[in-house]
Amino acid sequence: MHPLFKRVLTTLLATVMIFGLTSCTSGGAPSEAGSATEGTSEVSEAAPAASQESSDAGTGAAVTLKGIATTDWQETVVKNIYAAMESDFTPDNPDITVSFEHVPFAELDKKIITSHVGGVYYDIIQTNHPSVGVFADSGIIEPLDSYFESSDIDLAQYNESFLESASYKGTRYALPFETDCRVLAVNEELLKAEGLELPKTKEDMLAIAEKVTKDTDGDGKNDQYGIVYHFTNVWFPTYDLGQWILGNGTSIFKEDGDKYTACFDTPEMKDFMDWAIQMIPYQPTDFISYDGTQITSLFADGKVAMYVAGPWVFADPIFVDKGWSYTTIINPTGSVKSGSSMGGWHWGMGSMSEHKDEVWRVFDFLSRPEISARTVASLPPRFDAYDHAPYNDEKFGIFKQQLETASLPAPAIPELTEIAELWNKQFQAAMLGEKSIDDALATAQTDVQAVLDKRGE
Amino acid sequence: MSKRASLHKLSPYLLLSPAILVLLGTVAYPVVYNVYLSFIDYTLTKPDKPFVGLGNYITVLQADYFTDVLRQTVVWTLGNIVLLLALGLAVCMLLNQEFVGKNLLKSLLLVSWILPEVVTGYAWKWMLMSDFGIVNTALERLGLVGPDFSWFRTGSMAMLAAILANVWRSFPYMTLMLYAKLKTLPGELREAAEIDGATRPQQFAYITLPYLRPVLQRCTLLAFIWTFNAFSIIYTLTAGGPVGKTETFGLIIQRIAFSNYRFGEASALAMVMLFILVLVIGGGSLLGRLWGRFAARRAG
Repeated sequence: MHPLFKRVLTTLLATVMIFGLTSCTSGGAPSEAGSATEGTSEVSEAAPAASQESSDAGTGAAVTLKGIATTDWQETVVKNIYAAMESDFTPDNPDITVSFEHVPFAELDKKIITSHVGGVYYDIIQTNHPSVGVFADSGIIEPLDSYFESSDIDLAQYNESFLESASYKGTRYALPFETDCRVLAVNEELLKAEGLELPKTKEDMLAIAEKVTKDTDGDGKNDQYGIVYHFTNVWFPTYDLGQWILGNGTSIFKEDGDKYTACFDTPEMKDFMDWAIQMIPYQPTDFISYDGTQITSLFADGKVAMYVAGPWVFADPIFVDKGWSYTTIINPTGSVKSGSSMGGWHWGMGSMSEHKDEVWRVFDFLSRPEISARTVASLPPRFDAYDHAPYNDEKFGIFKQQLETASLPAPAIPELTEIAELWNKQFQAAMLGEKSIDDALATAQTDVQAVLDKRGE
Repeated sequence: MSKRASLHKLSPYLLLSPAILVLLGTVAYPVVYNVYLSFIDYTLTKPDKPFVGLGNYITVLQADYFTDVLRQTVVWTLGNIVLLLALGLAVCMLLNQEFVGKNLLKSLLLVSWILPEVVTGYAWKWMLMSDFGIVNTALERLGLVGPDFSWFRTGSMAMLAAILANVWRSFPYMTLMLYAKLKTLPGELREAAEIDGATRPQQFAYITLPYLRPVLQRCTLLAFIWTFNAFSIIYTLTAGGPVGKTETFGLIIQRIAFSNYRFGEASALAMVMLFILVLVIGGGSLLGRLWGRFAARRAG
């Protein structure tokens, strides 16, 4: 090859590469009104471009409200919302349509905050309950008190704790939309074989665990258990087992005005830990490394007597395959009550929305009990929604009943994840015998209070 | 200077520019931005991101977790390097012998190396589980462990399990690197040594090892970088547990940044990690050079 030709060719190739790189970066830039950031989100197929239409505010022209929700909701909740709106909302509100952008769960808050900072605004925002305060502080979501006051939404129909989590510093910032709570699933056959009755208290659970845990095939190792702790889940002692902290009438920390106090140095917490550690011998040897699927499989195989169940079990492929044939009961009581931990999602109204009245009309529609039942994927947070399909099915009755006493495991603050991690570490240390219960609780008290105090600063 | 001459002078830079641009965008910018973040209280959930100077570094160095994580990272890294080199060298020496099925063994060796770390992590986790793991069942039947033995209940055993899994995955690379070098060892050297009456261990110590030293040094360096920065295999196998006893720098940075959203603190920790990495590599390189000079002087 001629040297000159070689040089020209390489120069050309280099130029093409530079242009290629340049166009790669410019092609991924978001458009004015919030197209997706490359690689983290996608715009729903059903969604027309919102930016231009949104600028028609106040002219009476059609308005497309721009929403943001998780990818998990794309084929479930958001699809349900589109369907419900088409049949029951659009005929009365032909000028309003909604278009959702979807991002993965782990990216949602990051995307909402960075978009807002970057001047890209949403009208409707899927808001995780611990994020209400963050979005409120950041001015991302609009206070909704005046909207609620002028509406006929019956707030008495909502679970109180979950309704409370939609408020921040005494102001209501979001519409509670979807929640969950946990009940206890029991393999009654294992109990019957031992002549045992369904548990009513956490002490009954311990007695059942002791009786059913045994070696059934004679190989010298237990192969049937009372319950299996989900040790690999950092939220386990806060949510799943944490239900018996709530049942003891306390929580990992409490809110008193602007002040937050850790509650690990209480007799109720000590009682919970004593009970939790007594359950340890009735687990598989290596329960520490069991993941959720293994625990579910073990229960579905009839090897475990008790299992913490949420509404998600009905869609779990393991139970779909094997069929759900277990008895579900409200959680056995702690020293005070039957506690159940809940979480969930709200809808927030974008503070920079140019169509706040239209957004509220959508919220008002979504709050209706029959629409709530038709659109949520987990559980509706309002009790009257359980009179409507599909939640009027018998299998959801126990969840409605448990919802009466269900509550958030702790006040929904942004530091909840960090606190749950600190608590989990001390819980594990005590359960594995690396620390005494008193030492573990004392360390948890100090560590968690430090995080809470830092928040106060 | 003619146009042609100046173009000729510029052409290397022009040709290098795409690669430089890519490196600037994918390496230099993230590093510089990470340095910037390490001086900011950048918590994703807080609207204000104030400049805090060395605040994040002080927080990190004074944190309860720091000494534990440093110690665990050192144990993890050293454990891996020692076992990787020992096993890599042993299998390399084995491959240097003539036996039936040698070529098959060489091909099979690569299987564990090409498996993704996540797959290795999960496979080992399942193999080592007390209740139905194949390794544990075998150990139990051989009477080496009791029915209640668990790899994951204590920090030391969980760390050992993670190291074993990583060594199993990575040693073939070391073996092949060393074997490639060993194949170039001139046969005359060994023959001369044999004539002089050197025993096999003496040949290994005075001929083979010195000959492999440059490759051993590079392998050590690579093993250090890979294991010091490792994330996936520990994450899938132990997730840092039990009670944080297998948490290394990689894991804690991931947790602080993407679970607690404290990007400033995570960036400072990443800078500390980078500092340790550079310090060890620089120190190792210096030691290597000094050793080389010393060896040359002794030989001369």
